[in-house]
Amino acid sequence: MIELARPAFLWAGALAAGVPLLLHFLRPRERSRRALPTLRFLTEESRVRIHLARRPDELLLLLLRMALCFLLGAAFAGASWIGPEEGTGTLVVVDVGAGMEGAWADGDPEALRAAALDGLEHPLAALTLVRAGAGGIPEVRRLGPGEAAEALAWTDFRPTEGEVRLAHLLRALRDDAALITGFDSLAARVVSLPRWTAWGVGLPELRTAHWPGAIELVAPPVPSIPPPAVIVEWTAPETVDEPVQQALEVLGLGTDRPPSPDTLRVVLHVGSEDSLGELWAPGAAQARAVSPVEGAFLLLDGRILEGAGPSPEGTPAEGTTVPVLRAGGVPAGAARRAGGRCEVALPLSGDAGIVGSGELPLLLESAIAEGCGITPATLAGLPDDAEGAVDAWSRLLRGAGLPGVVKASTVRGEEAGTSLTRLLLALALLVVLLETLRTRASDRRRAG
Amino acid sequence: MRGKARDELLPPELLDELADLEWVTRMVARGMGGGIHRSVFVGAGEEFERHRPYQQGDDLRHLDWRLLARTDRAYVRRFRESSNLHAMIVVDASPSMDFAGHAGGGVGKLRYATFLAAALGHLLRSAGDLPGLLVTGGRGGQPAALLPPRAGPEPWRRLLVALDQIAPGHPGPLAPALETVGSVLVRGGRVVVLSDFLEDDAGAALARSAAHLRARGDEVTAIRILTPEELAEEGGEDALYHDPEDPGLELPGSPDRDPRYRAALDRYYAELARLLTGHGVVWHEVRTTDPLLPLLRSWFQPGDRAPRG
Repeated sequence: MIELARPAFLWAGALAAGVPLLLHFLRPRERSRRALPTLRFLTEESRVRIHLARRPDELLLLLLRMALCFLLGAAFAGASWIGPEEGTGTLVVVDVGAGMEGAWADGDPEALRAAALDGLEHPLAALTLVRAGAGGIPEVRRLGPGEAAEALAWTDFRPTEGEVRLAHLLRALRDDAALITGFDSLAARVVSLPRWTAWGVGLPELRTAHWPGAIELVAPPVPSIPPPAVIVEWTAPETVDEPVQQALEVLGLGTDRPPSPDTLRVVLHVGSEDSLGELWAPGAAQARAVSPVEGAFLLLDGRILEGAGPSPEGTPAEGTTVPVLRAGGVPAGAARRAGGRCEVALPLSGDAGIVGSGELPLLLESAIAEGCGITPATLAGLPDDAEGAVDAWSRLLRGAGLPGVVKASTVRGEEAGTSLTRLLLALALLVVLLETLRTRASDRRRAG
Repeated sequence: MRGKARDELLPPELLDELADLEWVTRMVARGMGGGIHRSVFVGAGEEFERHRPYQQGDDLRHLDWRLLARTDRAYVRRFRESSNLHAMIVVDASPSMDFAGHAGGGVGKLRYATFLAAALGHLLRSAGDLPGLLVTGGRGGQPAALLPPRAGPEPWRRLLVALDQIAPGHPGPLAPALETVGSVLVRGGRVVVLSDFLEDDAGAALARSAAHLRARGDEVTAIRILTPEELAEEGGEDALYHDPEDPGLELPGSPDRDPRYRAALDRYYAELARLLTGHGVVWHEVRTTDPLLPLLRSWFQPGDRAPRG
């Protein structure tokens, strides 16, 4: 079957194909005037027949022009050929990050396994298990029809040491979707604990992962969800004051949690303008703020997040300094990605607009609102219980415009689609060539 | 002019091919000169007719002495005399004959009629007949050219020149032309009409005039000439067609895509042929793409005593 990435172009091509047809019938006939001594035998019927049935070469020309319009429309529609229906392949993505250790230790492993396999009714009874391997490289394990779900042991879900980022995993799988063959639709079943700090990070990244199919969230039934912890390092501890605490509260972060792999690490460089050095000078930050890079980045969990705002530069590279903006785009400081952390430089005094750290909560709040694309209310309102978090996340995913079900063949058929597009364009060129030859032959015939 | 017209209308190779063809009439000729046709006179000819009992006064040279010796009865041998014919070739030069189709390179109906008239004239002369010519298309229904049947090379030369100079004339019916032929042709002659026979009255007046000629004892042959395009056999193109004899009448269409066109055309000529042949007119149908020599050979076989009808 043929699938179209941009069906509108096909419709446009079909409509455009009607234009030559319309012109063919509306165009006034340019008949030559000829003598015919036996005119008396020509009947009225011939008029009607001639009106409807033009000369064969005119009909050929019309068909060629219509085919040209349609083929061009079909070519730009991104048509791709996929094989017969083979069902929906489901990719079970298991979060085996260290954060799942709690679920492993305290929860019900069998329940987690059952949650992962629940509903995996595949026509071919095949399953592809993906888990993060060393260095974050996905390990793909395929199970044939004979193996089915029972072949999955709980050990497949055993957490690993280190961090697993689901969005990265999905993105890597998307790019390597050729591994998932044999299906015309691909869904992802993500089994992970609804720890909002991790999900909050993963959410915007999942948007950018552009997973070509449904993403189903499965939260294992664990008794408790450990709240995130944060470690705040201060370059100027003496300046820690109430506003800083307020800022952390706005973010829902606390400082009394024990460190864990999901602990946020925020480094705040707070000091005088002079102490921050030339790079961190507010003047430089302000200068950058009026540059084309505007309000796109935010410190949230120790990483520079790719924001939703217009950012021609995208996620800043290591060491790149970007401005930190206040609401309304007022430059307030500078941030720099360094070693997986985010360092923020905020002047405490001077004419830069921030006096002390009193405006930090507002700064972070407004930056969250404008730069990250996640509203503080949503973050603050994310439930702590597993079921509520899953619902909230699902709502966010739907609100983010992720497709409910997208044919995996869109990914798998990229190459085929490209070849089909080339074929259609080649056919269109052939049509142009045929029309040119026909026109020349017609001209020669008239000249002769 | 003489040589040019003759060479163009009657090239030597055609004359060679026509040398063995004879166009002998089915009727009894009334001509006074010698020819290949059976004469109304019985007597000193070469063709044996019958025996007749000897009567007093018969020339003894005609007595069949052998029969007298065997049977002891006196019979005289009677011979059929051969004679010639006066003939008129009528060429329709109305505007409708000035049509060669639109494919290009084809011979027009009028030019084809000219070639055919020259070939028939040559056959007539070969048989000792006296060919004449009437070209229609003059003003007021008068002939554009009229050359009564005459013997000798000079009238033949004038006839060829007249044929070579035929040009499309004015439209008009054929019946007056046949009436004119009746006035200049000796009774018992031969009339050949070359035309497309597109008559306004479906040929009724033409049939009456032909019947009058036949009643006089003339042999009348009608040769219908059409182009393949008129027969809807080729070259039909969607165009705005007009009648050359009635330029105000225009119709868009194409003959080869109108199934009723060919049916109407066939019906018209079938009815006209029925009318004419009913009066004893010989009817032939040719198209301008027909090669002349095979056509003539199909009509006049060598040694044939009568043309095929």
